[in-house]
Amino acid sequence: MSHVTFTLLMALLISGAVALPGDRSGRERVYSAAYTFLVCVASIVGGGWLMYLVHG
Amino acid sequence: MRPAVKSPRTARSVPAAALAVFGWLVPGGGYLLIGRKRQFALFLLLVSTAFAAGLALHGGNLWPQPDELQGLDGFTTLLAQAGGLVKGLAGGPYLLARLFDYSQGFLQGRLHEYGTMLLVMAGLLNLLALADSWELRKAER
Repeated sequence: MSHVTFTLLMALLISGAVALPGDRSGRERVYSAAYTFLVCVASIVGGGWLMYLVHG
Repeated sequence: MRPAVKSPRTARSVPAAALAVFGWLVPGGGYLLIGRKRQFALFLLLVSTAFAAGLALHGGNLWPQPDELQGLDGFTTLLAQAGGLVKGLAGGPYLLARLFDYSQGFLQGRLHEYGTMLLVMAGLLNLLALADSWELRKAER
C-alpha cells in the first residue's frame, strides 16, 4: 500500500470519526464527514506540493 | 405524599470518575454510561478495528527507548514520546495487548509505520469519544 493510499484511508477514518460525536442529525453528520474529508485531501495535496517545493 | 418515581439512568447519575475510567477502559464506554448506545457501538468498532489493524501491522506500542531517539532533535523526541503516551489512551485494547505480551519497539519499515500510526489513531479516537461523552454528560445535566 502506498503512502498516498494509506493517507487517504486515514483521512476517511478521521472524517468518519469526527462526524460521530455530538447531538447532530444524520444529514449533518454526512455533511461534516464529507467536509472534513475534502479538507484533509486539500491539506494532503497542498502539503505534498509544499514539501516538493521545499525539498525538490 | 408524592409517589416515588424510579428515574431512568440518566447522565446526571453517572459520576465523572466512573465515566473517565470506564470511557478509557472500554473504547467509547462513556457513551454507554450516558445511554448513547449507537455512538458507543460505532466508537467501539472504530477504535478496536484501528488498534487491531495496528497490531497486525506490527506497530510499535512501547515507550521510545533512548537508543531509538538518538540523533533526533528535541521536538521530534517530544513527538515520539507523545505518540508513545497516546497509544495508551486506547485503554482496554492496549492493556489486552500488553497482557498478551505484545511488545513491539520502533522498527524501520513502511508497514510498521502504518501500524504505529493506527495505534496512535486508536488512542486519539478513544480520547475524542471520552471528551465528547464528558461534554454531553455536562450538557444533559
